[in-house]
Amino acid sequence: MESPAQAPLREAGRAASVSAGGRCEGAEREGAPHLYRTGPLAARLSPQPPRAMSFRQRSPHGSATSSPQPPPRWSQGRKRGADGKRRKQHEPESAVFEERKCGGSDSRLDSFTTPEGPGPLSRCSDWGTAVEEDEMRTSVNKEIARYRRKLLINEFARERKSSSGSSDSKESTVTVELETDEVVLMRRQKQINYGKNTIAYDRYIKEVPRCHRIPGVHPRTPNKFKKYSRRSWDQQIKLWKVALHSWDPPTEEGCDLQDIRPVDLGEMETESVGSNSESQTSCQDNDDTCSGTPTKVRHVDYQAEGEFDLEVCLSEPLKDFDTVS
Amino acid sequence: MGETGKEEYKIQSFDAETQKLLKTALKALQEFAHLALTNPALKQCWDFTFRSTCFQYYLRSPSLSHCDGCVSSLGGPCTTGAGVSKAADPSNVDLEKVANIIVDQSLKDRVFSKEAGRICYTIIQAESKQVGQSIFRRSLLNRLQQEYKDREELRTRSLQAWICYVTFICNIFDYLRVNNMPMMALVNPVYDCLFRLAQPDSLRKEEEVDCLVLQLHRIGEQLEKMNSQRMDELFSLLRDGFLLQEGLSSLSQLLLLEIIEFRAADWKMTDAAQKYYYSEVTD
Repeated sequence: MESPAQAPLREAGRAASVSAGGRCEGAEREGAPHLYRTGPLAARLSPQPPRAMSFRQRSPHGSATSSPQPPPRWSQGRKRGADGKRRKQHEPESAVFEERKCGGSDSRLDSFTTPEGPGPLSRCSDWGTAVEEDEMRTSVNKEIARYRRKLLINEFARERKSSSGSSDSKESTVTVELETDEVVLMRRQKQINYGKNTIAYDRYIKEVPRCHRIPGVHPRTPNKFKKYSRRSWDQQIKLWKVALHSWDPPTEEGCDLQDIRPVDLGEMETESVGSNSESQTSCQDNDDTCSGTPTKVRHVDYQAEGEFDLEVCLSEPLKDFDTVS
Repeated sequence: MGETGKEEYKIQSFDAETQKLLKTALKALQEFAHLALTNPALKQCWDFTFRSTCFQYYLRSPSLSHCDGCVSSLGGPCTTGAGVSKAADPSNVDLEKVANIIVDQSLKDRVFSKEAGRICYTIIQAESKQVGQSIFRRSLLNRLQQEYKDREELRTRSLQAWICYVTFICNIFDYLRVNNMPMMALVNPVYDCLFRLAQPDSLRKEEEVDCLVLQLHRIGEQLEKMNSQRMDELFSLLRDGFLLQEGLSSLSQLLLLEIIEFRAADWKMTDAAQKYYYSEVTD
């Protein structure tokens, strides 16, 4: 019989090796189980039947809540659903960006938020995907910080410019509400990545440096930090991508790549793009757009999997670089 | 213009401690090079990783002027390029295979597992910069995850391999960062491994205790930042082990005591501790 004190410990990051018998590693420790019954840990225990506590069949990447004040663990993450059937561990990826609020006792959270962590962790089945998502999330957060700073700088500049008595007239433009919902930002970032991951986009930025862009003529990446309705945003993306097609390469280079992709309405469809063997190392994308999108992903090989492929939306982890190999 | 690599490595300025680190990494690197001689996938990986500016930059450290035979025959930094084959197109390299080879090797070779993380980091950077992908990282992590799932079996099968695994995964956690933050996905698995090492049957084995305290020295502080509650729990176990566990060798007890004090001193070595634990004993 395992020491109840250990169950919370064992739950976190429990590997799939937990068997139906609720075997806990190290449960055989004879050392000093009694200490845990009286220590600080004892206080947070709810006396639950072992089954509910220890059967966290959770994905090994450890998306368990590890916060100091977790919602009662026994209420989450049942290994079996209400009908007694074993719950599948792997959720379809389209659920990745739906955040269900904690509380449903027999629905497993699609994502967790730990106080120590940077944000919601979705229930991914493997570490590779988890890390990639992590990466995108932190990139987006960095960008929004950067964008905010930029706005602030503009604000100050504007205030300085306005003449002495009339700064009030500018006030209405100063307070702009930004889109901060991470789920939304990530989705928008993915849509942007789809568009930027094209030959057309490459050719565009090479041909027209940002300083030479003519507003209205040259396509401009929609700003994911501004508040827009869903429809408005999707439409902007669509128009942007269509506009980018003007830079499609001539036919012989395989313009199959440039077919208009289905507009990503957040459904996270997988896209199968013919691979291009060319891979120039050009991170000289000086496209420091106001949305602060990180360096363009150069993704050569999409693999259409049966589920949403996060690889498609990788962000560059590095800062802008000029690689000359 | 390999200078652009410098920015990324600003944090790794070449102070004495970094040089020391690089020296230890060189051993792993030599091992990697040695393997690459007979393994085409690794060789290709070496080529494109090596040619990445970052890699060249840190390899050119003055403290690494000596080149192992393997490294130079592969085209190490000392050769001006004659030995280097034309850069393999990273997208053609079977990086998944490379990842597997690296994991396999680190399960066998304790020295390698200590510093292979740095090699992995370099490969990841190179792949990311040159092709904007992260196949290697993904394969590496997923392979690590597989081994993690079967870790109990691994431990039963071979204690050494288990110790190597823990060393490796901690090393990976240490070096592989995501936007300058440690990988969240690894926090709990690493803790799980350390908790396993703190179990009574493991505490009775000196090598496991040694591994445990070594890892805590290296990554304890970071780990604690990521999740302090689990660190508290871990140290409760260690304290219990130290006080109550039977069958602990005196060395193990000493190791445990040292790490307990180390953490109590906020993960720093105090003078008193240095004197007590690491100075020459006169009697």
